[in-house]
Amino acid sequence: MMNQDEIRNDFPQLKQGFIYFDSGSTSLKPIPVLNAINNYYETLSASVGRGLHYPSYLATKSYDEAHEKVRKFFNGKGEIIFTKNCTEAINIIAHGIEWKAGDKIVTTYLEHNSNLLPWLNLRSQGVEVEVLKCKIDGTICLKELSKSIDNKTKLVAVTHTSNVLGTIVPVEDITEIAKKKGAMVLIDGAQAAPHLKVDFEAIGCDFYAASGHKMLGPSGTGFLYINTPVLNRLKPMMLGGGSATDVELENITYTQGRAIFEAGTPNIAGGIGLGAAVEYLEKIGMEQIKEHELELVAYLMDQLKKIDGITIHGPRELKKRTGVLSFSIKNIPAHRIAILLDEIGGIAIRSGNHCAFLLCRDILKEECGTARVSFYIYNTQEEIDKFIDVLEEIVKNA
Amino acid sequence: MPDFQYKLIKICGRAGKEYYHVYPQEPIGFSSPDFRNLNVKMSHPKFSVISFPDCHVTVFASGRMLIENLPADSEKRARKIIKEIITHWL
Repeated sequence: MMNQDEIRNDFPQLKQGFIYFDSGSTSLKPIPVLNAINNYYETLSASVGRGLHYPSYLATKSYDEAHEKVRKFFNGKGEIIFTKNCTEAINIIAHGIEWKAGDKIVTTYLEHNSNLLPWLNLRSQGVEVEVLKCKIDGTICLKELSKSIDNKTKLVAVTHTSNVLGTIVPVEDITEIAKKKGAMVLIDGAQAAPHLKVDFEAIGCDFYAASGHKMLGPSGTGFLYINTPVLNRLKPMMLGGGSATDVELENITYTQGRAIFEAGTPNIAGGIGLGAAVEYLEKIGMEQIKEHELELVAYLMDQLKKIDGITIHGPRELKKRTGVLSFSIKNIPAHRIAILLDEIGGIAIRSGNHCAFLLCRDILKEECGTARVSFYIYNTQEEIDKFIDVLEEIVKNA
Repeated sequence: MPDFQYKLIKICGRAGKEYYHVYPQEPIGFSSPDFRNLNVKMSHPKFSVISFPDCHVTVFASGRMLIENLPADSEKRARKIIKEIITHWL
């Protein structure tokens, strides 16, 4: 069973006494992750994959093991590339595929800018981008999606869960539809990988991108999963140290596999820290994490109904969502709600458009965005009670 | 403006509207701000909401502020509003 007190004790930042409901932006970091980072700098500090000395061997071993932990955690048979965040992971694919004028990409109104702007940018190369509308609760009509994918479609790029609404997208079904029509599939898992049991093999996608820093890992970490059959069809986004095994002016022998996508000295401590984060999540269990977050969301939804003028966004059915909940209050802009929660209650939430402008403006009709609560393993029902008390005070006075 | 040092951060620019977050370098720390001639729409022990013809400003005792819904490219206007608030306050 999940012991809430033990978990909270693992997060030193919580000792400052504030309530952190902004894990959808970045998560807090537990002691084992902090220890793994410190351990690298105190005992393993050396470059990876380059030196013949013993410290380099140890650092390389730890860094490789971290990749392996991530790969196994998500049951992938392909390659894990460490990146600085999910955005970089998606951009590796946007720059890596050989696009031709007339190629088509299908994506949705649900997307975060990280899974929208890299594709819209390709329009300058003659690539057509179809952005499929979602319903107001963030669900996508699979029939419409299927209609959008035609024989020109090279890639379908969708989020696994909405960062605004918490809606879970049926990525297995979408992948099956896209694959039948010969398109590749990229899943943006920034909001899913930290909170759900994700199985790359079961999804069957070609690419899965996620942030390490949202799943208890260090800042400046993320990863890209590339299914093996497509690995050698991609161009690397950057070239440099580690990209070549031999260089002559007229003839360069490039590295194969993971190394060519991780040019230059990587964020070694961050990568090792991400490996420790994955071990920590595994110890607790992803099913239990999901269950805990949904209990909190169910409780929060019930409590929010007491607030005058509130609109709760996203699906009502728990099975369709994760631990993210967006809301709006009549006549109180989301940014004012957020700053008042911070000043009055020491409560951190996110406000605004959450880098999902199309969704907030065109689907939710919230020009100034929403207030968003996002839970993780360290949050409690008592924190929600305090949050509701402060929110009631705000509504009365603001 | 008497010695109020602050950082001005534009936090949102949508539909031609802008929000500004004002972070004081040093908290002012007056517990009961009196904004005299300004149009105080809401007064609470921890904050006040002041109404201007073109925006609302939420002001805290520390000097932290949220300026809401200014038209686009309003940084100069935001600084003028801050000056007006602080002049009335201090």
